[in-house]
Amino acid sequence: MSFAGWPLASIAAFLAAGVAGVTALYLLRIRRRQVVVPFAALWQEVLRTSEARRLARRFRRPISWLVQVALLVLLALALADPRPDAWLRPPRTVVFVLDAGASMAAEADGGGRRMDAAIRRLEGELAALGPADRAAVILAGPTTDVAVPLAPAPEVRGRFVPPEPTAGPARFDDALAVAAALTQGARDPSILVLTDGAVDPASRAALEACVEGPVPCRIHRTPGPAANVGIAAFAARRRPFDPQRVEVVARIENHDERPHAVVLEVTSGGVPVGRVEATIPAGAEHRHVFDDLDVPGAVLEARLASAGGAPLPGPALDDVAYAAIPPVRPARVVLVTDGTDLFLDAALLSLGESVDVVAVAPDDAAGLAEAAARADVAIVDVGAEPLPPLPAGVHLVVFDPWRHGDADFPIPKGRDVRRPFLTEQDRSHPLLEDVSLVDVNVARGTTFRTRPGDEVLVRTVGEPIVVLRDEGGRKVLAIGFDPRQSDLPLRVAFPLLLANAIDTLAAEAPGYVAAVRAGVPAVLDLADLGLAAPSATRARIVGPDGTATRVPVHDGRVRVLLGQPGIAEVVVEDGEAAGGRARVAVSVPALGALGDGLADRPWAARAEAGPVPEPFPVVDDPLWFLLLVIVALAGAVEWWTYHRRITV
Amino acid sequence: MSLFRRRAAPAAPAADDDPFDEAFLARLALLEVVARRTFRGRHRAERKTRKVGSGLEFADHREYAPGDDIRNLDWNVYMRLGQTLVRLYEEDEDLPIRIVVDRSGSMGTSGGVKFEYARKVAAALAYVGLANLDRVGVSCIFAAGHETLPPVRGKGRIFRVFDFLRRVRPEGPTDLVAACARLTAASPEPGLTILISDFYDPKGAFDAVNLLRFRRHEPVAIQVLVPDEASPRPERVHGDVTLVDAEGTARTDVTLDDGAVRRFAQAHERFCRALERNCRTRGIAYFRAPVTVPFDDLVLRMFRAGGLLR
Repeated sequence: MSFAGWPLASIAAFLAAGVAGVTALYLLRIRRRQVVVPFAALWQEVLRTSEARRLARRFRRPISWLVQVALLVLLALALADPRPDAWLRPPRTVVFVLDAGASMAAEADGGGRRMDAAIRRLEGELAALGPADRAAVILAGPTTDVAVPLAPAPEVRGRFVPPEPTAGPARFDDALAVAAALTQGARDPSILVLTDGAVDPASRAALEACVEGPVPCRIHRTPGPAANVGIAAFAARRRPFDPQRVEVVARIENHDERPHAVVLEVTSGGVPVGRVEATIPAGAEHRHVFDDLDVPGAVLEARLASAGGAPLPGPALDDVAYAAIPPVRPARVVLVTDGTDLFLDAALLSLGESVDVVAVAPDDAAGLAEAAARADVAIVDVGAEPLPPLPAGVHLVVFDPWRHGDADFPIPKGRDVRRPFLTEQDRSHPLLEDVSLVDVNVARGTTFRTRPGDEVLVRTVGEPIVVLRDEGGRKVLAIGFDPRQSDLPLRVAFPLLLANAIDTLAAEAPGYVAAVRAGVPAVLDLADLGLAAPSATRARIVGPDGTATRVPVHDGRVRVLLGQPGIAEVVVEDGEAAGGRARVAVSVPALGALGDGLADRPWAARAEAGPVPEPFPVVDDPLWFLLLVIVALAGAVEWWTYHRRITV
Repeated sequence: MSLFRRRAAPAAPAADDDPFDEAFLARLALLEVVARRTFRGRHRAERKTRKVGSGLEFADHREYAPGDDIRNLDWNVYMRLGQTLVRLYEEDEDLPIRIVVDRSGSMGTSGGVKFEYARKVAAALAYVGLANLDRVGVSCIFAAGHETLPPVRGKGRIFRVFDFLRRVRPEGPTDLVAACARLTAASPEPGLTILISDFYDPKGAFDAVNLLRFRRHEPVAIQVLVPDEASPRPERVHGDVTLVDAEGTARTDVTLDDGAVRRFAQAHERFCRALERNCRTRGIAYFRAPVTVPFDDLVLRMFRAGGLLR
């Protein structure tokens, strides 16, 4: 204890003078009042019987003097302004950076969660700060969150609410940058990082830079077992040539030193749709594709469990994954026709809702350009009309392009052929799947001159008559005869050929649609979600926890940041697709091994925070004020008892 | 909170206040009227004693002694019994009323209200007696002695009584027995003796009254009290106090609490009741006279009690 008030000599003089004054006043106070009585003998007779009480009365008087002196001593102590020695050290500023990544939900060494151990240390550090110290708390998750801004330590203690780990990875680069900014110009600044060490390389580099930086940076680690078995990836897609059926892929990683027998169950709307059991060797991964799943809903949920029933190592966050099945989007087809090929119209009509056909006249260049801009495939069947300028940026299916000799067509003409026989066809090509062109009678046609890379699908006596060319992503299917001049439209093969052509040409990026990673910003194309809305400007994102956020739409895309795993929903609020909804799966990113990535770093060992400091004594206001309050209260009580003649 | 509130003490009479002012005289006149009505039909100034004198009524016989008047010889007794006895006759005697006022120091406490009251009662009783053609004497006693106004007769003599009582001041210790002994020795003639005092005598309050009775006086005890002295207010005597005796130099340092004050009040009441009990068992009239009761009310109470003035 130290004294920051009056010097000892002054205190002693004050006490001496005060005690003398109190004693003098006390002696004056005990001077008796004189009461003249007419019959003193009777008083004496009465008082002789209360001898014992008189002793107690005499005892009260010294107590009154002692109370007065005790008040004086308290007052002298208040004037001395006593302070714990810890108060006299210079104030400091500490910024706490708490790892809020998903790995903090895992078990810590010694039991309990890593986050709980880190919070205990944080609270112990806060308790060791004095009333003049300042502190701040920053959460390092997928995004940086200032949990408690820079404030006096007592205020920080009152405002700090223990957080929960996020579902994403911890990013320390941004968090430490914010911490460094808070320490600018602060008194005796320092940074304390609380983490389990399971950080990515970028965060590790940021921590090293912080430790080596100008501001003292300590690290307190709450590591735990590195073992983790979880779902690293889970995605779904519609089969390219059978959109009604779904294909699901799952990847499970075993970051343990022993193998684990696991069971992965896939459900849709609570209905089991798939199940696989596997034994994954230590340190290995297992990839499984559920092909041809019959899925009743639009959302899939995968749950990983141990085959033996025991809990899997690592947090439970990555034992659940979600996938949203891409919607079935009709192929957008622009049909350039003179309207005379009713067989073609009927064949397209037979494809039902899987195609969205817009018919354009051959001479409507503007209409063709506008429709082609939104179409997946353009089918050109102009019959005797000259071939119109072909639209760019869209796949093409062109019938009899060289009917007229001066056509502008990318695949050069070979020769005219009267009554060509379709002698050879590539039955293995997806475009000719289930299509039989044998015995198709054709009145006339033209062959093509191909180049390397072209796919010849049908030949007439060795000469290409149906060719598929890929021009840097745009595909052109050239059919060297007019359906009207053949009996192909009367065959079953005609609509099949058209369907295969549309599927083959319109199937863009038929890959798996992966889930959005929790806690990581992502850009979603509304068109990919089946919400094609070029004029939309606003959308609402409803997270798995039900919280809704309005986001702007730029060029049909929205930027989202979803922190909780599960199924989110995107709702378009304006434009042509106003009210349209689509589901988005949000999954925990692959956590990988959860070991302490800082254990073998010398700089991390140097920056170790050490044991928890002792709590700060008397964390709030100066003692002298409290002493003055006590003196005032006791003085008031003593004054009242004196005037009520209780102590005199 | 009674911290700063003080109860008003009884107003003490100023030193130059005349206790026998016009208002007092008016009340005396009223008292006389009431007294006259009370004693209507009775003989005034007739107090008989067993004194043998020259009256007409036979009282007793005694042996003849040489020198007796032979006319008083009872010849009938001589003839029958052969004894020479003389006849004795009763004689009416005009016995005085003595009013004795205690003028010791204890009567001067509380601003002298007790002594003031005692003087008024004494004056009132004297006036009624004088109006009744009684001889009335007034004495003021204290331990060291007494002052006496010899018995006077006639209503016009009341002013001499007033003058006498005006001159007296309370002082000195109390010794009622010694004072009454000296008084009765100086005035052995028996009569109605009214002792007005607070009876705060450490040697014994009843002994003085008993002495008067022993000396063949007809005593009446009037105990004058101040209620605040009989039952003191706690805030007046609470805490560390020095009790100073009004009649001397005795000082006692005490610490009083509510319990002690209560016990004193109870002891005082016991003291007064003991005095009253002693008087009544001996057929002595006793009147307790708090100063808060108007003096004329006291005197009327005494008249109604009877045996006082006849």
